[in-house]
Amino acid sequence: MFKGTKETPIEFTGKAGEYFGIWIINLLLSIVTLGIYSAWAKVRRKKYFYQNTLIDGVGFDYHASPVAILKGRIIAFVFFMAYAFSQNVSPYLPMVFALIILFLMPWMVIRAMTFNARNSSYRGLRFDFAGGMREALFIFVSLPVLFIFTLGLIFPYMVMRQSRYLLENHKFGLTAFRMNAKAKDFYLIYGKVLLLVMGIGAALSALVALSVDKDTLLNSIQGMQTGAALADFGLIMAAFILFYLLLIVGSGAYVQARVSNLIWNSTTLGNLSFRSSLRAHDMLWLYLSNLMLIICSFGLLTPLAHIRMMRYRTSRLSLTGETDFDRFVGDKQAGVKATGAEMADMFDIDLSFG
Amino acid sequence: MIHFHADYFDGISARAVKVEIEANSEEIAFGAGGVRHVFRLADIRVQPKLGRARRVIELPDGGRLEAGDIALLEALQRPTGETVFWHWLHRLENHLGWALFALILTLLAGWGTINFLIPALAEQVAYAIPPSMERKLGEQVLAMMDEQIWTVGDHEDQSSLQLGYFKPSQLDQARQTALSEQLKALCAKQPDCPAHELKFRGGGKIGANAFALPGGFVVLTDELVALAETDLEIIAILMHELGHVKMRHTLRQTLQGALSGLLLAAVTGDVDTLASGLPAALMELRYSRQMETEADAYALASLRRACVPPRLFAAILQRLEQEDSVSIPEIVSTHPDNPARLQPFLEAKLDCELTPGLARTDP
Repeated sequence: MFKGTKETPIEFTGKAGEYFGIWIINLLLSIVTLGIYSAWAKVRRKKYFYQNTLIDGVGFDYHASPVAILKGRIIAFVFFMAYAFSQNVSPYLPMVFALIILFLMPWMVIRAMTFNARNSSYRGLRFDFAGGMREALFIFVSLPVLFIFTLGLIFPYMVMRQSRYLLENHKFGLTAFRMNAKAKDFYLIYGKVLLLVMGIGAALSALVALSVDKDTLLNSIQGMQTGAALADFGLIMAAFILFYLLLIVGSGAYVQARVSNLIWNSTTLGNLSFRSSLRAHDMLWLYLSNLMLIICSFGLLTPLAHIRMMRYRTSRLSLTGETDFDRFVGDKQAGVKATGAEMADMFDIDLSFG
Repeated sequence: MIHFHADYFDGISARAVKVEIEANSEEIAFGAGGVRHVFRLADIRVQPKLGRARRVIELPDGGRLEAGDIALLEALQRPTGETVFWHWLHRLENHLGWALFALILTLLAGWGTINFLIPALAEQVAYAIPPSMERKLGEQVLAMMDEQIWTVGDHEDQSSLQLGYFKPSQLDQARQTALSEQLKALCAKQPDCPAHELKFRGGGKIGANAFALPGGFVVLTDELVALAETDLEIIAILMHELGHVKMRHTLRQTLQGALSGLLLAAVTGDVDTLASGLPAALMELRYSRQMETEADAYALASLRRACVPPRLFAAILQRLEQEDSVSIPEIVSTHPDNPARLQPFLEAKLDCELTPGLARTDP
């Protein structure tokens, strides 16, 4: 780091006890209103996380109208119901629905990103998203289809293109984000994970092939009557599943940490850049301990799990460069007009289901 | 006139300007960068309090004020229904006692929804679904339960995947017709016998059992026919299944599952999906118990009307229970308390003549 470059941490001031109250009231009102309040609950939850995320002592803010979110949820509800019953009308209808979803996906991603960005602000300046439909179709429809034909070889490239698309089309005020990470960097991360997982998988398969007789296994699958064989088989399966689960969660944590770091460390916003230093073993510990917390408390400690994750992620992310926010400007007039026109638009709905 | 300090953001630049605000019951005013801003109190929007975060005042021109404490300003504003709601919400959220109270209320509300609201809703929807659609659903389910064998691999290393359970029935046509005729005779005695179709199947792995599927299909396995000592026992079991058909239990249960899934998905936009699977699994059990009781009541009333001794129902159920089979019939398993359930069937006294058309083949 050269002289004159300062590092500004991102603070998270959310408290588990405080969030528990918000979470439980959200849950209660959502249940008694048959899910209608869930739209208001979402705004309150996001506001809590946004307003408690501070840079330079100033928090973010979330402005979405709960009614817009409710509209989106009602549409999703109707669509889901139609899908659930379409099978009874004709066996081909669900396929038609799936195709519609596939081609609507890019549009839905753009809508969700735009909705979220325009309703997020920092220091009175709104964010914006301006992704194009053509590129979205390529990234979210063509690339996934190619993914199948290339046996997954283009997956890292796809992740790179998707991250870049999502990031570079975001603006803070009038200033756009830039991401400089190359496809090569993504291939390095996924390549490492693949080699590791394949190595462990091969070793394990060899071990199993040596120790378990194929006929016994087949018999216990087909028989299913003999209690003893069934119990044995269940035990083996349980061990298998546990191990693979750990492998999946472990490699997931590694990929999450490394890809997040790669993206953030190569991102700039005007003169600002970011420094992300997530660590895979921290993430793995957080995933597993959060899972245990949630299971052992029958879901009651979910707020604590959310807060812990957010606290860790923000503690590992900071801004570098001169945090001179006076430089950032927005176009207030145009902004207000755009959102005003948007409000009248029937498509001003939240299509993200987070 | 009140005074307080705040950070002012004009909405054009990200710069924070420290300002001193003065306000009275009509207006709010401050000076920033040599310009004096005045807004009517009615035009500004004070964001509801949330946790201990800084308070935000949204200005009508897109600017905003952020301050630590604005209780004085809030006192100036006329309370509306909305502000009172948010005020109470914030109080609820921030007192552990209230939050725990809310937790108990949540559990109660969840329990009430699961036990009363969703079943009632599912019932309404079930009766609104056209019978033709329900029939189609039933046909599909039956097709899925019928045995299909998929073979994969070449001659040397062949393995087959077996889907479904039922095999074709081994009962001869005369026997099938006889049983159908008896059911028809008993049905004729009832004022409210639902439309149905009796299907004979070999039970395969399922063994002795009888099911009601959506659309009035009633499946009877050969094994159950073999287990029965008299035909009347079979008829008694079938009346229980017709109870399910009459009250559209199978469809209602399917709908209850789908509806509770949807409700949970809507509610748990704010919770993890992990925790939401548990209650769904738990309620499946409860529903079926209540439905079994209803079907039992229908069977008992029908048998009495046709002068079939209800104890026959108890007799075959007890025999089913003793069957050492891998799959326990639904009619037995969902009732943990079989002796109590069978009591009314054992105690029922009849003094009338058996309906003609029913074969008394008591040993």
